[in-house]
Amino acid sequence: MREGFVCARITQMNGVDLNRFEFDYDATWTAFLTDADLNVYSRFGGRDGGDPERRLKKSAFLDTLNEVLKLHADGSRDFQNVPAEPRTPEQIPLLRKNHQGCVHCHQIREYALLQAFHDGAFQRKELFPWPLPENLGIEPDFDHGRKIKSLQVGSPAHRAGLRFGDVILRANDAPIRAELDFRWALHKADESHPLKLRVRREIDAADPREIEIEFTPPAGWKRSDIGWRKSLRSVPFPIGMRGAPLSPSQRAELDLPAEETLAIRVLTVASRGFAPEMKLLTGDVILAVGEESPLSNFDEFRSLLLNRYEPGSNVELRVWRGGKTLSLRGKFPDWHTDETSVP
Amino acid sequence: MLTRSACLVALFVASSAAAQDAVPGWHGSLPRAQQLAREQNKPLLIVFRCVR
Repeated sequence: MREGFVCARITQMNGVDLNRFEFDYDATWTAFLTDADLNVYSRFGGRDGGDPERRLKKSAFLDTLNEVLKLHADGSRDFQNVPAEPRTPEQIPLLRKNHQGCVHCHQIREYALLQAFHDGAFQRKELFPWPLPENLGIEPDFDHGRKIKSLQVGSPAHRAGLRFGDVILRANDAPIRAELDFRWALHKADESHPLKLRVRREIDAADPREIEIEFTPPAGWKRSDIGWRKSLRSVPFPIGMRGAPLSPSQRAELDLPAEETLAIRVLTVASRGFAPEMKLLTGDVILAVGEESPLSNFDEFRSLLLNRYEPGSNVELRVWRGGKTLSLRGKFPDWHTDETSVP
Repeated sequence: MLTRSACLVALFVASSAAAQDAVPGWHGSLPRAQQLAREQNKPLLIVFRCVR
């Protein structure tokens, strides 16, 4: 199959058209399938907070490659709709001013976050790019990419009428040939607008039907774990502390459950930001955010806070301090960062 | 099946962090790859592999 394609491998983002080659810049591997004019048939890749290769199945990739070969041979012009005007990393002023040499993928998103903050344009929704189908209650069949393996009962997608086995063909009119195509459509979707899906349903294997389904997911449907993202460090959230999860032996010393619930020891507290606002002290162990105490390392703890709160929100933490457990209450701080460059 | 395996091996070699130099059969220049795609009437497979 390889002979059917001309293959190119790009290892730095300098000068790359970000409008055309838009992908999850926190991921380390993404493939685009295009014609010679770089019209996009499909994009393949993507990851979540779990195993980085969980969503990258060979069988799904082969399916996508095969479909693109057929489309190209047929002269199809059913491309993904991307802006004609190029947009390059060098058009981000902070990147242009402060960065030299090779531009890495993750640096694009990080500079974009910093630029948005310093322009006064940062919005919370920018924290949650490339939403997962799981956010809608759809569990994709990763071996087939765009096929639905199962649906969470009562989820928005289930209530809208999607069924396991459905193959997603279009989302908001974009052609879907891989799971990442679907995530791109979700990424581009306005959170408050209805999602329009076209699926193929094999009610009878000999008589597949195409069905249109439209539904509006509940507010906040794009939020998901961002603790794995390298760009998390450039989010303008002044957490105002350093912290580290307790080791099993440290947990035992504090009589905490052996299972991995939240247990973050506060190592340092800065003069401003979330931690001093919450009156956290060095040596405290954070046990829960509100009533939640899920499995969490420090980055997942930050992700959880960003998922649940926005500036001005009331926050409650359960904290171990000097042999006692107490509740701390405070406000989530305003967005802020002094950073203007990305390492 | 052999062809599929060869393709996948090539792809995953291309994605290997160790493979930082030019990989046989893979073009580092996108304009050159576009030119070849036009000449041969083939689609492009463009891999973005961030080498940190």
